[in-house]
Order: sequence, then structure tokens, then C-alpha cells
Amino acid sequence: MRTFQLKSSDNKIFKVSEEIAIQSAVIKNFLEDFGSDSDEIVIPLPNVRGRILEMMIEWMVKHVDEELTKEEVEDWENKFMNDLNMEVTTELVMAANYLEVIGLLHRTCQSIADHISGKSPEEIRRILNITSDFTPEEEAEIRRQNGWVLNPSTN
Amino acid sequence: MEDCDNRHWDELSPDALGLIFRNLSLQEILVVIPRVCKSWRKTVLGPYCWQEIDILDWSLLRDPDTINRMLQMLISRRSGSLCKLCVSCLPNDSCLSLIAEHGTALHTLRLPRSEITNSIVEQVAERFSAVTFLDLSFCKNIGASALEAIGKHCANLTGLRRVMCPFEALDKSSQDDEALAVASTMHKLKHLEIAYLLINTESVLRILENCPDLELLDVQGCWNVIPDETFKKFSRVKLVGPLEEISESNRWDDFDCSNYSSSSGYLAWDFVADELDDEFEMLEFFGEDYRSVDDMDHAYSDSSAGSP
Repeated sequence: MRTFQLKSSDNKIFKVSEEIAIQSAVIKNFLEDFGSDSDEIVIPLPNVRGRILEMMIEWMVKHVDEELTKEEVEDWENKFMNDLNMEVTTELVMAANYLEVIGLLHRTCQSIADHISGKSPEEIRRILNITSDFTPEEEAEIRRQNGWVLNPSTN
Repeated sequence: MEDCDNRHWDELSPDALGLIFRNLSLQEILVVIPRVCKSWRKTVLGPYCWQEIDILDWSLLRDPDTINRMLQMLISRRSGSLCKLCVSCLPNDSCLSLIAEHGTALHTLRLPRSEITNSIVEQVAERFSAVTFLDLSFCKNIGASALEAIGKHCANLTGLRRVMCPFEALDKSSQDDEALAVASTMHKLKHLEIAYLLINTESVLRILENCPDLELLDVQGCWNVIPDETFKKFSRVKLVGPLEEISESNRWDDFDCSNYSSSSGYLAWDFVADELDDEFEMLEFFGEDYRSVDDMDHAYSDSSAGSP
């Protein structure tokens, strides 16, 4: 099994097998361009910090583990996601988006959506630590513009 | 975008944000999300959430102008390929023209209860050549010629839903021509639901003979259909009806459609319809499929007053 190294933005090195890493479409393409079979290859990932890359690899390892049933992987993944705070989840979304790890991307997006579903704009900002950049007038205007969507008798 | 103070949210690309928002309801995407911050508003105004548009339930309780307005707004936002569109009660032919104009990549199209006519369907059918699942249930102004146009142009059609309202059928003598249009043009069908279509046994046999891939055929409430010995050679097809009640299972799961209807079947309708005047209550009880057409006549207050 071919192995090589992934280097995070903070210069942490992770040694991974090809089978695991090619869940990333970007890495897969990179390896196809680099025919070499030595583990001398170091793939720099300047947009992903070590802690996030480590979690991503952990996720990818579980998803190629043939000893686990589908249910076990799902259980593991649910727990994995539940243990993350929203900030880390967001970083994982970015990393998965950047490296095109589609399964992880969808799962992390779903997780964020689950956290904000049914919440008010104020609550969403609090949950995700976002500061409103609207003036109160602007926000009132948006609220007015979109009211018709909600209710047959609005407006 | 530049003013959000959380660096992670600043860095998240609109397409990733769109992936998050797609998991939310239409109302949330349109009403709540744009109020969070400017970059989120911008994302919702862009194409990122709108490859699939499902306003089936939303449009059930809206007046024609509001549906038209929503459709225009959403279709103007999507870019590239709109692959799934579900909307009820399309108010007129021009709405279908609009959809056809932007819908060449559609694979799922659901337009139940729409006020569309044969002529527009014949005109735009060729634009829907990628459609694999089509729902034209309760569209009372179309008939065999529309289905034939669809069948000719939608070569990949594997699912068709053409369920009719039991009461509307009363003023028609027969809809066998519709069944024959299906049989003569839609040879790749796997799932076909034609409950309450006024057809006879012969029409059903023609469908069974001409659709070799058929797995499910729903003819509930097609009272004139009497399965006899000849049906036995089509045992590969799961035939539902004309008499038995609907099972609980979601047979349309393959096509990502909502549940068929109520598990209580058609009989309950007669007893309850007159008693329920709250349409919400009725919808909950029967599922989306048994909304009386009269509901369309409700005059809602002026919901088109606000500007977009």
C-alpha cells in the first residue's frame, strides 16, 4: 500500500495510506499527476491546520475500515459530530470543501443546518458567533420584504 | 461579508454556505437566513441553494399571484442546472413556459393540481427530455394529447403519477385515451400511478403489455378495471387496486417523492370531507393529495402587496 505525507498549515506531518487519502478528490488528482510510489511525497495543505487535518483523517480512516458495519460507522460519525463545537465543525466544512471530501462535507453541513434549523436570526448569530452587519433599519426592511413568503395572509 | 467578525464564516465560500442552507426549509432559507448577516443574505440571493426547488406544500395554500411570484423569484436565482422542481397549483400556462425555459436539466418535475392545458404541454414537452419522474396528478385541464407529447419527448421517463380526484372524474365519460397514450409512448415506465382515472380493464392490459419494465401499477379507484386471468402473466408487476386500500409503505421513495396519501384510503373521505372546513386540518389528515379544488377560491388578503 502506497503511503505518503500530508503537511498542515502549521507544519504538522501526517502519514497516510493512499486508500484513505483518495477520499479527497483533490489528493486523488494530485497523486494521479505524481506517478511516484515512494512515501517521500509530501502534499502541502496550506489551508488546513493540523488539528482539523487530524480530525479529517480520523473520519477518513473510519470510512474505509472494512471491519466496521455501516451502522457502526454511522454511530461513530454521529458521536464524532456531536462532540464538535460549531467553530470546529465550520473549519471542517471548509477543509472538506477545499479538499473535496464529499461525504464529510455533506455531513458537516447537515450538522450545522441541524443546529440552526428552527432558530431565529438572533439565535443563529449567537450559536455561530456571527455579528450582525445590518443596521436595524436594514434588517427591518429585509423582514418586510420577505414577509409574504411565510403566510398566505401576510402583508 | 467583510463585516462579519467571525473569521471562519468569512472564509466559508458561498457554495459551502449553500450546502448548509439546502438542508433547511424554504421558509427558513427565504425569511430567516437573509437576516443573519450580509454574506448569508448574498448567498441566498445567489444561485447556491436552488438546484432543487420544492415548494409543493408551500404552494398548496397560496393564491396564484403568490405562487407565480415565488416561482419567478426562485427560478431567477438558480444558475446552471435546476434538477428538481416540485410545485403545486401552477396557476397558468405561462408558468409552465417559464419552467420549460429554465428546466432542460430537470429530472424530477412535480406539478400536481396545475391549471395547465394540453397545448402548452405539447409545446414545451421537448424541453423536458431529461425528466425521469413526472407528476401531473389532479391537473384537470390536460388529457391524452399532453401525455402523448410527454411520452414522445421524455424518453427517460421511468415514473409517472397521474392520480385524479374521484369527484372531478364524475363529469367525464372515460379517460381510456390517457391510458392508451401512456401505453403507446412511455415504454420505460417502472412506476405508474393512475388512481381514480376512469379507465377500463383493456386499457390497463395495454399498459401492462407495452411497459415491460413496469414494477408498480396503481389503479386504485379505477372501478371499471376488473383484474382477470389475463393479468396473471404480469405477476412481475405489483398491482395496487382497484379495490384494496393503500399500504403504509412509501412506494415512491425511489423517486424521492412524498408519501402517496393517507393510509385511511378513499372511503374515509366521504365521511370527513364535509366536517372539516379548516383546510390545514384537512391537509394534515389526508396528506397533501386530497385538497379540494375549492380551496383555490379562497380569497386571501392582498399577499402580493410587498415588493421583492
